[in-house]
Amino acid sequence: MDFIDFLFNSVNLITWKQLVMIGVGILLIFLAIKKKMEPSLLLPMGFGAILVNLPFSGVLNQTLGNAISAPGAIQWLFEVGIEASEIFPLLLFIGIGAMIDFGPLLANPKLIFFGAAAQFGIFITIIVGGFFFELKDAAAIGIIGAADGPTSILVAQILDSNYLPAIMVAAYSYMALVPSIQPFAIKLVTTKNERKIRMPYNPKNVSQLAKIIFPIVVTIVSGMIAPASLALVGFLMFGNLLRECGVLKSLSETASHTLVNLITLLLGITISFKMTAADFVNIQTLIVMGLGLFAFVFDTIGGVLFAKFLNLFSKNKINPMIGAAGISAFPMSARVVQKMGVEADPENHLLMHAVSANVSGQIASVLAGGIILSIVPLLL
Amino acid sequence: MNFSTENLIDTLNISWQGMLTIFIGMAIIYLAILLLTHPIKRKSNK
Repeated sequence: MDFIDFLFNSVNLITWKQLVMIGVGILLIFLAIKKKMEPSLLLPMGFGAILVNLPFSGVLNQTLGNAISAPGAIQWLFEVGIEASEIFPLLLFIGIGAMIDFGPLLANPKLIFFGAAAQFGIFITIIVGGFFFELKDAAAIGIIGAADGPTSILVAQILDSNYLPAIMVAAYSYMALVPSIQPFAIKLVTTKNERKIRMPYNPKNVSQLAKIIFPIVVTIVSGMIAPASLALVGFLMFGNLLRECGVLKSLSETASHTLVNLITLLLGITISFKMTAADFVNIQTLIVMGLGLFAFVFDTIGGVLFAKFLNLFSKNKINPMIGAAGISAFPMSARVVQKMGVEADPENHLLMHAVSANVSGQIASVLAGGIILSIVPLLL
Repeated sequence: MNFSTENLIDTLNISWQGMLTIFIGMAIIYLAILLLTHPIKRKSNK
C-alpha cells in the first residue's frame, strides 16, 4: 500500500449511509445545544453517532491487519452496561426514584388511575405496529409510549428487537418534544370550556411512615402481578426508599445527582453503539419514529378520554387535561397541563393535580414495561 | 408490511391483557395507599 492510499483509506471507504448518520449525529448535537432538547442525552448520542460511523472506528472492535484484535470502548460499554445486564438503565432508575416525591400522589390517590389510562398509547401502538413488524419488535416499539427512555431501552434489549437504535432515539426525542406534542393532542379531544374546569386543591399532610411504606408496597404488588417488572420497579422504588427513609441523606443525594449524571453520561454515548449506518439507515427507522409519535399522541388522548369518561359519573368534575399528565415524562407533562390550564383561565392552577397524575405515570410506565416482558415471550 | 391474522390476534391479546393488568395493579396500589393514609388521618383528627 503506498502512502497516499494509506492516508485516504478511510475517506475512500466511507459510505453515503455513514455520511447520513454523521449528519444525524450533528443534528442531535444541534438540537441538544441550540434547542436544549434533552441535552444530557442527545449530545452524547449525537457525538457517539459520529464516533461509530467513521470507517474503522477505534471505538468499535476491530481486527487490525490480519490478526490483531483491538477492543472498542463504546462496544465494550454496550456489551457490559446494556447487553449483558441492562445495568445502566436500571442504575438510572435508582437516581430517578431518589428524585421523585410521591407525596402529592399519596395525598390524592385517586389520580393514580390516570397513570394507567395514559399507557393506552403503548398498547394501541403495539396493535398498529403488528401490521409492519413481527411481534417482539411491535411490542418494543409500542413501549416508546411509556415516555420513559430507560424502560424503552430495557424492554427493546430484552426482547432482542432489531430496532433498538431507532426506539432509543424516538423515546428520548419525543420526551423532549412533550411540550409540543401534548398541547396538540389535548386540543384535539377537549373544548376550551373543558380546559377551564377548575379543581380545588386541598393539601393533606402525608406521614413519613406512609412515604416509607409506599415504595415497599408498590414493589411487592408489582412483583406479584408482573414479576418481570421487578427489575424496573424495584430499582425505582429502592431509590425512592433511599430518599424517604430519612437516614441515608448523603446516599439519596448521591443517587439523585452524581449517579444520575454519571449514568446519563455513559448511557448516551453507549447507546450510540447501535447507531451505526448499517442498523439505522433504512425505511423501518422512519416507521418506528412515526409509530413512536403515534404512541405519545394516543397516550395523551387515552388519559384525556379517561378523565372525560369519569366526569360522566362524577359530581366534582375533573379537568380532562389531568389525564394527559398521566404519562411518565416527569415533570414536563405536568408543566404542560399547568400552562394550558392558565391559558384557558388565568386563575386555573392545576399543577399539583397534574404532578400527582405524572408521578403515577412513572409507576404505570415501568409496570407496563414489565407486563409486556411477562406477556410477549409467552407468545413468541 | 407484516400483516397476519395470528399477529393481529397476538397484539390484541397483549393490549387488552396489558391494559387490564395495569389497571388492576394501580387499583391494588390505590387500596394500599388508602390503607396507609387512613389510620394516620384518624389519629390526627383525635
